[in-house]
Amino acid sequence: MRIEFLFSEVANYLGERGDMDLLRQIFPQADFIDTPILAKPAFLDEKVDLVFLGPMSEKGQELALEKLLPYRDKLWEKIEAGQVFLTVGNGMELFGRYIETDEGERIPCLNYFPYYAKRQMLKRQAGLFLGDKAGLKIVGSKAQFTQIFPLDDGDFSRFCRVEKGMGLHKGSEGEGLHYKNLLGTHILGPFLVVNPVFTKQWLGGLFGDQNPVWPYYDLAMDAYHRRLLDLQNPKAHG
Amino acid sequence: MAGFRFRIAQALGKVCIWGMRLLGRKATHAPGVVVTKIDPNYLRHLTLPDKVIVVTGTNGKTTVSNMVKDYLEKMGFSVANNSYGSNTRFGIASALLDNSDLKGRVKTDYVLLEMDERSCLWVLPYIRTDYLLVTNLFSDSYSRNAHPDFIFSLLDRYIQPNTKLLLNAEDPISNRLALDNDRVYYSIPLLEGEEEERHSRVQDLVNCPVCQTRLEVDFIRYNHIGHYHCPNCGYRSPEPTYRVVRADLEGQNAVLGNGKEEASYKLPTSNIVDLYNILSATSILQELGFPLDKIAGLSEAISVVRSRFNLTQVGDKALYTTLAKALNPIATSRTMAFLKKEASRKAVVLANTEYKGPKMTYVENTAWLYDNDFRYLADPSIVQVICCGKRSIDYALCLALAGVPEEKVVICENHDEIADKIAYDRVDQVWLLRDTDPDELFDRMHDQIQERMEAAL
Repeated sequence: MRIEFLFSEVANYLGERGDMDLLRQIFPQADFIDTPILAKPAFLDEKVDLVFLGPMSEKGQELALEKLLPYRDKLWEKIEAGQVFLTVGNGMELFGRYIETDEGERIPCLNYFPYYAKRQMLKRQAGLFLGDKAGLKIVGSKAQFTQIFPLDDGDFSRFCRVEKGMGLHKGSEGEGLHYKNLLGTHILGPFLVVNPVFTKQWLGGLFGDQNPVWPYYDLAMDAYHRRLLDLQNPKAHG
Repeated sequence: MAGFRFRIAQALGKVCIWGMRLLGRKATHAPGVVVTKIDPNYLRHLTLPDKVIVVTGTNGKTTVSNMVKDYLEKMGFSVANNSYGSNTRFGIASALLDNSDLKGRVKTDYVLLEMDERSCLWVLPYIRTDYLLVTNLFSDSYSRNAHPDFIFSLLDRYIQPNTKLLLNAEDPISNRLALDNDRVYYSIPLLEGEEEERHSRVQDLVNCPVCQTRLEVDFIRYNHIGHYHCPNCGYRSPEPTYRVVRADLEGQNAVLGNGKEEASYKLPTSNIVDLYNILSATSILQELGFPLDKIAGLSEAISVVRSRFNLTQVGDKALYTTLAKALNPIATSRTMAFLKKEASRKAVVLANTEYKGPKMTYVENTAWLYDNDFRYLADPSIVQVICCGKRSIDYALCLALAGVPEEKVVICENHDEIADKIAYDRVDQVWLLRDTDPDELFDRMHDQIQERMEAAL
């Protein structure tokens, strides 16, 4: 099994090193590739089972775009062919149409899905998150400068339904993006660590034949249940 | 019109301070809100003394600001300072209001402000800043400060052209702020016998800030603090004016120099982080014109504020209380790295969680926990690690994933039960890691632990 941490020296903010560590512990036998920002992503030319892209600064996000845009068609082919790709944080914004800055500038993105991200650098959106994915509760936090707005000329599948906190944007009922094996979300925690049931179902379903290990699963479940209980308190805030 | 608004603000602000103090309040924040509401340009309309110094940065700004204040006051100068209040624009406005007359003239010899780096847009354009000292820029509260790039870009945008910068030569992020401004650097070169830490969990910068090529390392002290050069574009860490010539951290002394003269300095702790704080504080004092030997001569009178580092000796055992700011993975990791070096058997109490009362409904963003270097706590000298508060299970999970043996970890949600969980017979030192507030909680925990330690003698 091969797992690629894409642009890992710049795409590792907001605690998502925790998810990278977890992946290393779930798949101890896997070959891990750390692809720096100046290098061509390995999964474009080689078989990579899982690509992970973590949260970046805005400058890092623009560098990542600069690197990915020349491979736009190839990357889409991979996604259509079922490439497993998880991006947590502002990585999912790269897959939309554009990012609009405070100054009104539009930064062109990969344009696979009909949405755009609006940055407001002096209005950080932060708080708790509780969602539902087919009956499974998804927990975590949010901390971002952007809100994502769907465009009218198409649709895309959300990752989960919002029960508490902000989804794609304030007032949105959906959070994240889920298309084939591409999963994008702004839910932090770290996302995989704080959602052990989802992580086991999703990764177990995709890579059950790779002898995954679920480290400290009971402890992770204790933390999950405790957080869920707190989040379900009507007075909960974050 | 601004003059009228300002005079009203000044008068009502003074009344507000007077009224709050009558009620036993500190009046270090609300009066600033009042005057800024009445006159949004309040800070700009004050008349300031000749020298205005602002200290900012992710870690160390409070300590450095307090040290510089102590020095100036010990040398007989008066200082307008916000050390008793908040470091936002409101705390700064309150401090200056308190130190000014009805006409808004700040009557002290110096203005020395600690500024929250996120607040720079509300402060720097409004206050003539002669010197800006930036201690460092690291990852900090993810909800508020996002990432160092964001804070860098804010500071870079709002630093005014006539401000002279004092910057850490070992921080390749902050030392590139406002490149057109006049500047000096301070540095601690790799010390004799010092072990580098090249594999810190968080490294906020590894690529060249100019061309993005992977930097080549001359040395790394911790995280991204070090000396670098770029094999592609020629970028390299800057040459300092102020430096540590040599230091014996265990012996708690150092020799500081500025290229022309050198002086011995007695250190308050053996922590390299405090050496940075001292070096930056003495650098600003030298910039203000004070000779190095005079500054060094006062060194024994300067201490680290109690809430930041405190040792209580109980018989032959020690209870340390040390600040490890919640939500700040670097501050906590540096504290853990420091305590790990102590050879004695230790219990570590991770009480640096966000605490908003026993019935709090606030749900903490735990992402920052996963950027802590908890690997330090796997050291055999650490006998117990006690996780407190609402998210104590998250702490325990984080410790487990970092490789801290399960049998060392104690989970205890109630802060008032922590003292009962410590294995006093198996440890020589207890380290209580605390957040900035609430003081009452941490003081109570300290006293409960001290009581049990005394009883166990």
